[in-house]
Amino acid sequence: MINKMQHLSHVAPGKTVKIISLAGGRGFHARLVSMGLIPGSVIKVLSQAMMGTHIIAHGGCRLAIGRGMAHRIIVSEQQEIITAGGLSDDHSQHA
Amino acid sequence: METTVALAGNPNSGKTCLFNELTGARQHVGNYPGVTVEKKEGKFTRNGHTIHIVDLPGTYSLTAYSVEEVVARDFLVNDRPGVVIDIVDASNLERNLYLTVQFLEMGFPMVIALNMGDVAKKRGIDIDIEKLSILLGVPVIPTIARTGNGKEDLMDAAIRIAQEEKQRMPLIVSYGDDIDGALIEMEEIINTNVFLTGTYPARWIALKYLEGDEQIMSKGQKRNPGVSKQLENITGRVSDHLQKTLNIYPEAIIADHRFGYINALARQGVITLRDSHDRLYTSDKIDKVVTNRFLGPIIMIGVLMGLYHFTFTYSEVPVGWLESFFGWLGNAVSTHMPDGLLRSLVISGIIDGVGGVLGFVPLIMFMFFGIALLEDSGYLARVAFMLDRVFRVFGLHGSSVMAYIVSGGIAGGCAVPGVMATRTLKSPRERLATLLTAPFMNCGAKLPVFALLIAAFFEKHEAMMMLVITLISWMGALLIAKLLRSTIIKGEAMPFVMELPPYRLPTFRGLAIHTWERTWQYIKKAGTIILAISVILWAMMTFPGLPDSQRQEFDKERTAVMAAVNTDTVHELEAAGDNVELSLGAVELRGHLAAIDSREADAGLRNSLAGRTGIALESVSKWAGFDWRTNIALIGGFAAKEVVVSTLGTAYSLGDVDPEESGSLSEMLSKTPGWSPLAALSLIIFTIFYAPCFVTVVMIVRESGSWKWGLFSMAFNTLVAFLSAVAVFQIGSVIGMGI
Repeated sequence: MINKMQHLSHVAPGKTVKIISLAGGRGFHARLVSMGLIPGSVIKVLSQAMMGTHIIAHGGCRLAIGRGMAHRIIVSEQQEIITAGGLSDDHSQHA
Repeated sequence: METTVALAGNPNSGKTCLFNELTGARQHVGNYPGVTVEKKEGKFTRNGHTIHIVDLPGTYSLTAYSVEEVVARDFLVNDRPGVVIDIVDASNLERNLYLTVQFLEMGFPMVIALNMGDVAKKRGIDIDIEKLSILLGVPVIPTIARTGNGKEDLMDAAIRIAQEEKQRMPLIVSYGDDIDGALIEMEEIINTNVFLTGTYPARWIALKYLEGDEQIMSKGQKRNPGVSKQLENITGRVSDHLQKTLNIYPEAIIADHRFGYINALARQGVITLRDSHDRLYTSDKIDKVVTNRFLGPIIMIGVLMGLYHFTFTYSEVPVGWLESFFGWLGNAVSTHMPDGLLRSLVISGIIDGVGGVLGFVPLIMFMFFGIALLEDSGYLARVAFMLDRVFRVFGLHGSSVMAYIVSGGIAGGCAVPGVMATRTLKSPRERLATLLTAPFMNCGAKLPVFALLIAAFFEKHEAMMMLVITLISWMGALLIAKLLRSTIIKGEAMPFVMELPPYRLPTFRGLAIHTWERTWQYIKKAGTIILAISVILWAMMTFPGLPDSQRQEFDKERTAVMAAVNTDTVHELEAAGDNVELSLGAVELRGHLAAIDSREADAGLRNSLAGRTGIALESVSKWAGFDWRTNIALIGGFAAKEVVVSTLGTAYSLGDVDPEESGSLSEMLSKTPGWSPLAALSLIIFTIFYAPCFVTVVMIVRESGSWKWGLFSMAFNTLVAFLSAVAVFQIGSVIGMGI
């Protein structure tokens, strides 16, 4: 059930996606991870504001992500709905 | 007995709220040594215990990638607080626990404040507090920071833990076979060599090596290069292996297992989700409008204009009160003190200096109130994110716009609160670049200078010129920011990812505390230094006084003028108050005397240290079209930019010129040989860019944490200003503008 992979920057508002990988350096990686965005996290793109900045929902948390950064986050489209607490069923496969 | 408690937690977890609730107004705000990170401390008293509370910077993690994280980590390690209170946002439990796990791995005595349980409940998240406490092995106290609910229980638990536990066993998280194997091997090396173990737990040091933590690795290399090398080799081996097999860095696996650990915890019944629908919260609805592609910028401009209007319009009244108070004080002193140096020192040096500083206070209070409102409500984060793309090009941050606007991005602000406004910027390089370039904006004090020159030379294009001046300062500030960021404040831009906190109605208490603590800090620290500098500037424009022989000559002239008219007129003038109608003869006499006074002032100024400097500088400044009088005015402008106008007035023998009514001076300038529209333009350019006034310099020093940057801004800005002015003047002369 692997769906098509794409850059987060190309995901249209309203779509729910799962993070597959973070294609950036160590600083980039550390920063996203510390905010809870790790491979396996399910996020929803809420809107795309001025100049390509995305607002995403990850659980109860709203994050603004610049276009450059969004371009380095590889995601695949999901059917499932994110839960209010941000719990996704996907950590188990990494843990 | 005093216990030190550190408050730690994610940004937006309610940490600042809780800190305000605990300490009230008993706060002290400063900087962590050498970095632009705000350090807040306060006291809380309970049952005879005085607790010293330190608010650590809000962080998501404890890596070495951000200054805040390093500061938080170093404080915990070096100052060894009795207990760490970790504030955890219950509505974002998993992400918040990521930091908690890292604290536990370092083995600090800890208490968790589970905050915002009410919000979590509304979102359908139930948390079993007891279970969480048992599984983590630390007390978990529910709190609602906004109202202060639970703060007593929290502090009781903190006191208890601080007394009972000196050091707890660091938490051990399993990181999978590859990493765990390496960790055991590394721990053994660390323990047998007593390598940094006085400061950190062995397993933690090993973890940091695997994560490629530069701070710990450089500490290790200094302590024992041999051992460090061994650890680096193991790290390299593990890293290569993981790259080959999984194409992943070790820290990715480490992070993954930390979240795995948290997830496992959550699944053991800590979190129960009721309705797990993808709900659109009120906050999202507001965001749909406020961050809309088209509406967003319009609303933002409206809000920023509103802030500006609020700060500068409503502060006018109290600023006026302060001005009239100091005016009255000056008058009172001048009538009750004998004429002489001491009176001059008290009035020109001390009262004008202190008055100048305190005059800013209402402005600063209003500005901080406005910013606190935007910040606490959550809107500021949206502004930063909307503008980030534009400012990023120049090596700045979306939040830089705030500082620019307050400094006079829309002509008429003030760089003093502008520099202080950079506190909302969290990334240190962007913050430094912003606070160094914000003074290029056109503050209210530069406006009289522009008004004077425009009235004298560009009368027909008044509005156009103001717009051009504003554009020049924005372009200059942004380009110079870019220059600084690609040379001396070099460093990669922080990748832009930012939490957008839900919109909240700010509490009045929070607003009041934020406003007051920052205002008080300004009054206290700046007041002392500014007073000293003000006295120095006064001395520069006063000493050395005219030699006695010259002074006697002016006295002689005065006597001669008075002797020429009859004694009644002299008496009439001496007895007359401010608003008395004078006879023609008295008016004429007064004019003569004033002319002598101002010639004496002119001679005195020429002879003073500032005057001599101005004359000495003429050989250089002539390249930009400035004569010695302009030089003095510009030196005086370092005290406050309005002084440029009043000093030009003095220098052009007009006596005191009121900066607000410079009509006669502008006429005078337009007729003076040596002045031309080109020279005026050159002076305008110079005024935009040269050294910030000393109040601003003092603030730059305070905010950047070092005198180096204050001195840099004086030297660098003046150089930029001079080169631009020379370029304008010389090129203009060649193409025949200046006649």
